[in-house]
Amino acid sequence: MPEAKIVVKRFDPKTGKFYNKEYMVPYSKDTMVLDALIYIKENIDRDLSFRYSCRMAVCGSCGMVINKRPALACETPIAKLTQPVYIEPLYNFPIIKDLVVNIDDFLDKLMKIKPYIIKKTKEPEEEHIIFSEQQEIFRYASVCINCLLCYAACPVYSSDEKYYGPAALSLLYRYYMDPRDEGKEERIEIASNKDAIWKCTFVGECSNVCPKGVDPAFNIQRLKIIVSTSILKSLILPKLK
Amino acid sequence: MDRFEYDILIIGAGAAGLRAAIEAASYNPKLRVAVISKVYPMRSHTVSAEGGTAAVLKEYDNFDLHAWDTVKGSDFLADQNAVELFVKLCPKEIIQLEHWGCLWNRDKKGKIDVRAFGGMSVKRTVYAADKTGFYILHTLFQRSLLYENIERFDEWFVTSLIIENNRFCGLTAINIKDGSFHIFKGKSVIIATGGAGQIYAFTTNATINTGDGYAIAYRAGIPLKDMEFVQFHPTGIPGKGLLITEAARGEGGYLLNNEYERFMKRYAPEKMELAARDVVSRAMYFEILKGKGFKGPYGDYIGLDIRHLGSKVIEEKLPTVKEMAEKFAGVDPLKELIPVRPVVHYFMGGVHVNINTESPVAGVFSAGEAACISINGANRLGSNSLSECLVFGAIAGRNAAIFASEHDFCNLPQESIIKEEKRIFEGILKRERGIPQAEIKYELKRVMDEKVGIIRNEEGLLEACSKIIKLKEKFKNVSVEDKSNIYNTDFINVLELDFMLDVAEAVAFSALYRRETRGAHYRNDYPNRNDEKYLAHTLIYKTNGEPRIEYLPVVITRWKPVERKY
Amino acid sequence: MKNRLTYFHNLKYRFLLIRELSSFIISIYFIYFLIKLYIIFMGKNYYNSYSFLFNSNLNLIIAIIVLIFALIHSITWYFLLPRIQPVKILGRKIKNEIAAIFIIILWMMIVVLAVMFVY
Repeated sequence: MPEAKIVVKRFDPKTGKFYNKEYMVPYSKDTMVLDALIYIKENIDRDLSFRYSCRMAVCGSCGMVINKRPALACETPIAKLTQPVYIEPLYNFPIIKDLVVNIDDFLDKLMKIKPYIIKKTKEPEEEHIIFSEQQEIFRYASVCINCLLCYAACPVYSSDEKYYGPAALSLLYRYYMDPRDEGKEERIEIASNKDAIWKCTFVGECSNVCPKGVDPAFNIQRLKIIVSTSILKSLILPKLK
Repeated sequence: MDRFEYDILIIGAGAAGLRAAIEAASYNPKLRVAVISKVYPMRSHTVSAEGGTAAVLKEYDNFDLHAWDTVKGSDFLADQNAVELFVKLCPKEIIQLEHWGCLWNRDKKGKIDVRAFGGMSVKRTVYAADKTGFYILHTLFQRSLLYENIERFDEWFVTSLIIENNRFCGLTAINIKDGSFHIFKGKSVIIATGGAGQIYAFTTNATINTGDGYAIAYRAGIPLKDMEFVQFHPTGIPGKGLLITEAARGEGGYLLNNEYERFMKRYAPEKMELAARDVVSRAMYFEILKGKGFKGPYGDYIGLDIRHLGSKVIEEKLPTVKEMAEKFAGVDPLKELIPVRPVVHYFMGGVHVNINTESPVAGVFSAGEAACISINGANRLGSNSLSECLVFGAIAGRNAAIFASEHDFCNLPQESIIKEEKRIFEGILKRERGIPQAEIKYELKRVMDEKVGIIRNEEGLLEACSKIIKLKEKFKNVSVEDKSNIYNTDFINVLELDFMLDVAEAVAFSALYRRETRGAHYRNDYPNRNDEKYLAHTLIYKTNGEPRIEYLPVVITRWKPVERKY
Repeated sequence: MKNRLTYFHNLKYRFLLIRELSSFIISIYFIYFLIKLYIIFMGKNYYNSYSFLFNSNLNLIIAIIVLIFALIHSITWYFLLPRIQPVKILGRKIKNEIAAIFIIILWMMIVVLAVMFVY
């Protein structure tokens, strides 16, 4: 079996220092970066820490930066990467240890956008009647697995941690688009917050790295249009609400 | 060491845990609920569920039919009163989730759509593309953010339950982020930690599914029920063990052997590929045994054919199948067969609880895959598990809340806390030099795969039991190389392995003593069902030596056991 | 965690920076252009004393540089456009790049038509 050279950027929380460590890992055509890391942990360095769980690119645990590009380790085959493979923790988050980052900031932002259906009228007895066409237009935006690759790719979030960020704003758009939701005005207000959509400069890297095709860049620009038209409407027809 | 005080403690933040948390928090907003999980809620393994969740929603369907399908699927080992309650509550939960924002697929009239699934006699599986688990988990998680009385402890690892005088007092946990040891005082607890697929090598389960909940209950003196019944899902990708959903067959996919024959017609002439999972898995296993499998780098496999469904159906209803086939199996499902093999998927058994999700210890509740109520009996039907998480998660949440409202905190026994702290830190973390945990783990996985797999016999099970006992001895020499406090996964893996060994013991011993074939438990030395002796649940108790086995009769209300045919 | 130099980190960010800067350069050029208009507007004497501003070859170089920046800015903008408003023909989404090239061709045709109309 051929061996791949893998360099991991590690962080020792005791000394607070970063250091690179090289490993040689055997691989075949379907060895993923995650398999290589597990191999390292079980056979070479048992003190290497990283998060992983489902192995099928749906739990979002194993987001890391592989050869300078944020990606999920479980679905990145080593055979397709240039060697040495350089693995870093996700950018833009505080590092706890090695490849483990602290994602609490994202959870705070998730709280801010109210990621649940806001209902003001009474719930119907049975399900809401929604047609496929109505919900398929925003289904792509609902499949965010919170892997936070988009935060690592976002230069705005990197220089301004108050920015709500791509994943959270995408979810805001998803709930805004939901025909069951009755909190449109609240959502427009959240979107108009100074740390929300207007900080986005439309670099578009979030959509490039997203493993699930959520396309946050698009969703944020749509929110900009939605907010702008609602402001225009309220200027022209202030009493029609 | 911090002490936390919460009315209700919930271990696990998957579908069952979050549903319970929401139910408990809304039952009485004054109750303080703590959700303790070793991963962030959106990482829980519910997220990997694909196919769908069963509920009687259409006018052509009725509760009796769903109940009958479930009972028949369980090979008559399910408690029929629980099944009847379960099928009645399923639709309510589905509608509830719909109101909370879950994006179920819709039919032409704008109502919730259903698809066919294995073992169900009519179409009744509600789905959201093939990411049903993902949608359920994220809907519940995001909904749970609305309740101020739910507090989450993400990345906290529960090590033991503290029980005194048959009453729950609290639990001990480690904060993985800084390695500190803490005590949670609580009035009631809900164990919703999911399954233990990781005790096998070839499994669809995530690496977090190490059966922690089973083990902490088992150690606390609560019996585990029906642990010998381990479901093999027919379609896992060889080598990786990743799941191709049953919906692929529900939408019309075929299983083909190397002669391109739909061999299921010989095993289940009526339902073909949509027979119950144990039947299909065994059929595939026998085909491979006969040499009729395709040859592959990870052993022989069977082909799953969805080429005839067309790209539109695949993209709309089975996007994940396509993605998985392309990414992890390296085939294009529109042009080639997807290689599949039976793979460990689900534990029908679990913590022994009654229809109200109460365990024999006052204040301990359990729901989801971690619990055995039992509605799944000897074999679960596909798509009943998500419904089970929702229905019994809600019941557990409500009952735990009622229990917490009626009872007071009890005093924590200091000795057991000190003992537990010693066991973990002095016993495990500080041990110098020893064998790495991975070595024992892989030995365990190998013996479970070979001897306690899809086909079992007395000899193999005896071997497995003695091997597990030997591995438990060997575990006493395991060491943690990483001695640091902060995010020490080496340490956590050792604690998990400790639990896995206990779970494996329960599985192997339960299987050894059930000398019959029923559902997922197939013994080639006892190939028939024996209703006279074994129409009963296995209860396994931990003792200092070999575990103790008892049997508990099955509750039968309306459906007498008959021969099971698909 | 805060990193003010992020935009210099990778090629895509740097390109974005150039794109954003291009509008700045164009605006400076317009100020210069306005100054020249003002000079012409003030009459012949005024114009004569500032004639070096109009006769220099530098003007051509500046104009070419600004044209390049203007082209970068508009062409990248046309590439962003279909990402905000996907182009659909007969219900099928058209690839962003193809849509952008299509828009650019359309835009060039309009420019050519406008030039022809003026002359």
